[in-house]
Amino acid sequence: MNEEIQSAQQELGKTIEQARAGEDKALARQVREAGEQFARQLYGLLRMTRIHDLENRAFEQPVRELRASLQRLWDLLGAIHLVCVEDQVYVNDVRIRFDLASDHITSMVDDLKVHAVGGISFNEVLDESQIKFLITCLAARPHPTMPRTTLQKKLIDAGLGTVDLQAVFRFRLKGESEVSVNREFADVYQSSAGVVADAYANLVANRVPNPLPIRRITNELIDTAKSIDSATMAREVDESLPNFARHTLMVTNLSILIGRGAGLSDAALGDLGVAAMYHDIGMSMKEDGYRVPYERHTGAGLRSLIKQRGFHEAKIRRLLTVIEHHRPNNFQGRRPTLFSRIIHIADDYDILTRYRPNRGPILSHPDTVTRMASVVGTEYDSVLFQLFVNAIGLFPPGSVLRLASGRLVISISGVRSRETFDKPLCRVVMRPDRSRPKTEEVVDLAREDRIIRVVRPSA
Amino acid sequence: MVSSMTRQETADPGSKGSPRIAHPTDTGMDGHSADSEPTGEPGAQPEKQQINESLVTGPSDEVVGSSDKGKTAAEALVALGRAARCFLIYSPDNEAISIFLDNLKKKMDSYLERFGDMPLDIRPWEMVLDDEVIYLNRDRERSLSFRLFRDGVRKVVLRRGVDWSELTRFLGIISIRFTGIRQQEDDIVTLLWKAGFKNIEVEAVEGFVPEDEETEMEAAAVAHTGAKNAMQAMIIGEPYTFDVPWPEFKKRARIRYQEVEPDLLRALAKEEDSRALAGQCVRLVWEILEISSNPVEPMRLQEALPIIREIRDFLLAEGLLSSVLELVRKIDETSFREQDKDQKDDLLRAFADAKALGRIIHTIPSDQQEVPRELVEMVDLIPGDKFSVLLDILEKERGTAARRITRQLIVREAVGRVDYLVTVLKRAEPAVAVDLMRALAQIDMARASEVAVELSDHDDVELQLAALNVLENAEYDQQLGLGIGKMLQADTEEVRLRALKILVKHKERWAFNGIVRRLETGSLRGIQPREAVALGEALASIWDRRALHQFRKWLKPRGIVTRMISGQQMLRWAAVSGLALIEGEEPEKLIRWVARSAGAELHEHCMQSLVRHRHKVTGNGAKR
Repeated sequence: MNEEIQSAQQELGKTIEQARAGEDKALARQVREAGEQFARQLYGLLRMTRIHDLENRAFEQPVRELRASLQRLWDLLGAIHLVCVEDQVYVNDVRIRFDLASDHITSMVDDLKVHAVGGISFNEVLDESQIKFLITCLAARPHPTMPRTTLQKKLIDAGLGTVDLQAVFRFRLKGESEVSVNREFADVYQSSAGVVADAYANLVANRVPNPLPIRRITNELIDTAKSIDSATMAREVDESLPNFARHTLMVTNLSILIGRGAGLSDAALGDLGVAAMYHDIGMSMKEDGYRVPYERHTGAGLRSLIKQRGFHEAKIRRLLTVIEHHRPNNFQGRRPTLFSRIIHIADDYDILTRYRPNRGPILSHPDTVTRMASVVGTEYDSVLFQLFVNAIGLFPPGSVLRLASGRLVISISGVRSRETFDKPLCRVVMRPDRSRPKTEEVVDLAREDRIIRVVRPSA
Repeated sequence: MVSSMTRQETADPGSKGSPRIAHPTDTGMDGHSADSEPTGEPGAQPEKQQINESLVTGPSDEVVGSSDKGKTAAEALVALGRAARCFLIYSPDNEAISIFLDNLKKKMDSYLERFGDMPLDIRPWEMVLDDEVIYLNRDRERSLSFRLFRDGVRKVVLRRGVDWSELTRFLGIISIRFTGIRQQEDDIVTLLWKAGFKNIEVEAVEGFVPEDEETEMEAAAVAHTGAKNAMQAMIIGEPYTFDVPWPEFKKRARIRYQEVEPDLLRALAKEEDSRALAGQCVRLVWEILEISSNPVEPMRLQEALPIIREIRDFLLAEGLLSSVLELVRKIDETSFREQDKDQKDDLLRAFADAKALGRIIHTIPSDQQEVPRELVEMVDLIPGDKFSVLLDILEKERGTAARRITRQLIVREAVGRVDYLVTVLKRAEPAVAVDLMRALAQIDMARASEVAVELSDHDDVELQLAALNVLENAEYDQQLGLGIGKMLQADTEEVRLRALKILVKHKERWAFNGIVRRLETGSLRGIQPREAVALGEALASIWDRRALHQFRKWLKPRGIVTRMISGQQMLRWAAVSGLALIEGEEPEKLIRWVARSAGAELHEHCMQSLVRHRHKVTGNGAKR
């Protein structure tokens, strides 16, 4: 057998071994078992409604069991998402096995489909009467034109707003969407907030970390940011996000920007992005009901993420990042890891430039960059900082600038070329006569006007 | 069509040689239901690791193309499916796998060279190439198309330029799914995304999208935006408090655009490649230990044990002994909280359990003669009895270097515990006892020779030879000689000859009669010339005068009957050999006398013995 084949065999053996090391078999088994049980019980209840009235005592036991399964899944996963796609059923991404002979899959899919429902998200554990109500609704005749909407309203009216009904799903193919790339980045960026909220809520509730949804959304961010000025785009979307997500997503976006400048592969950018998403998880953790103090947030973050089982290099690097992301470039004679050094820059930049209620930002964007530049080498990695500066420029997106013409503008571009390093595109927010433009007015400082002053917005 | 396909298959390794057996689910080999996820655990694999391709091929693989292009593609895909499945059946180092890989390479090369790109539409049971169904397998457990489809892959294009390395990585991802591994970090779509193939295009689902949208639904959704539950509400509603206090920098510095040198970028990328991982693992454990030993931090060592063990397993699998040692050192140095001290010992012991030490020892290079310094230090740092662990390793490990290193470690562990070592040795399996005997000899030669004498009549050849090794080097006394003497009756010629050699070395005259007896009985029981020669020479070496007398008796026996005794021939061989070593004229005369009436072979032996005799005489100072 030739050498090529033998080395392929070795490589494949290693791939399988590494993958196996990354498993948490116990958790996967528990989720699969509990998920199967839950899906079967739900299906069983739907079938029973064809024979018995829901007030029949025959329902009591199965409803109790369904609630117990819901609770078990909740304890493991937090919010539970039952999703039917084509002929497959998933509970939080774990595909559920059904006995093919009894054809349960298509039956349950069909039972939900008559209401135009393809999935149900349980954001809280329902009590028995709520479960009965949900089953009653699902068993009832659907609305002829707006079945799902009607059903959802019915649930909300009955105080079951934590149950979300999803449309019938099908798989989406890559590249299928016709929407513009810019629009898509903004969508992904915004929808990331929900994914991060779920992930954080689960960790705060002491559950085992599940990085896969975070990884998927991070991969999407990386793909959609490839051909756009993501620093600017993120700044535009930022205000529409809840507080907790703004910092996390901005640090993630800026970190990916630096990583891309450093020539990291998409795979490494994915790992970096996931690490950035989790970098401040310790700030959300509670001990004895109290928020963890800042001084210990890195340890608290480590403590929550360490619960994830299975060896994976991304996990190792992520945990190190959580611990090291505030450390200076030369910490006790040791340099933090690459991810930590990248996130340290992105983190500090966002901390200093983030608008704070009643205060405004600590520093203006340009002032932040020049002050950070004064500690390059000791605090920040000089190469990474240069890559950061090369991407965002002297007047980074979000900079408020007074122009020689008297206009007040906001920078809306990163560095477009070496020559435009200090000449960004800007949006006019105030004309010389102090009026505000009614439609968007853009100034290209490479072509006209010049900056005379940087403005730090106040509260 | 089906019959011709079957014939086609018999030509490839998928069906070569071994008869088709029932589907694995029938045989209970993997025992999964049609829709099940195999566990992927090594334990779930059949113990027998011989090549049995039918386990991988099964009855459901069908080459279904009708055109030449379709058939060639179909063969390549069947080969791909089999190569992906084979990791479920065989351990990764099994030679069977290389056969499947070789077949895949040939079939794939054949297609790509002749037809170029292979664009495949993936359907639940089929794969379609240019509107032609070229792969069909309705067995959920075995179907390549079903696995791909189920995991969200809808289109695969293998470009003409795809090389073997890329194909191997693609196969690796598919194999992970076939072996039923479910990683916490990745699914097949993220793995394919990460792979960044140049010549393999994969169109995978990127998630689920609603098939339809009820417009009113949006209104309903608006009524229920924001937090979905209390916990999310808490997260979403949190005021902004991240990372305070903020950093303060008093000075400013000028910034400008500056290209970064490619060398510097390469250095950055290198920091995150897989070679840096070991160092990062050690560093992480270092940090974890710092935090878990800090009384201010609530994290306890207990919480960190699983990840430390995962890291240990990774480092051991990679054979990174120095990194493992760094961890052991750090754990040893860390001052844990009082309540964690027991766990500290448990943790340290986990670095020297049979699995851990076994893996380290197994990866030791074959030319390594001494125990690596790091391993010695590591074993010393670990509390508890490592002796039994090392014995376990000795029982399982077959590699020469690994056994040598294990033995040396046992020597270190057994110093001061000779009685225990002897007890274990006497109870051990022969293969282990041999190594323990050698270890004992290194610690206490006198005790080893006692044990060797005791084991001299053991029926295991290797153990007898090990005992002889000890006895050869031990301080000789009569007691020892008696033990060795018993070995002249051993069943194995090699043992008898080695024992004889020792007796000759010590010119043990009491052994003379025993040797004579061995020759006389052996000559009747088919003793071989090689041993007869050795015994004859031994007699001459031990006691030449008496040997001459004995040889005379064998060569010129009294009475015609005695001369005709069967076996007399071997006694003559022995006598001639011995005579060659005895000085004087009579031995030469006797040899010549035998030669005159000897057959061809004995005659030749006599001639050679005469040469030896003359040489010996000349060498001894020549009486001529």
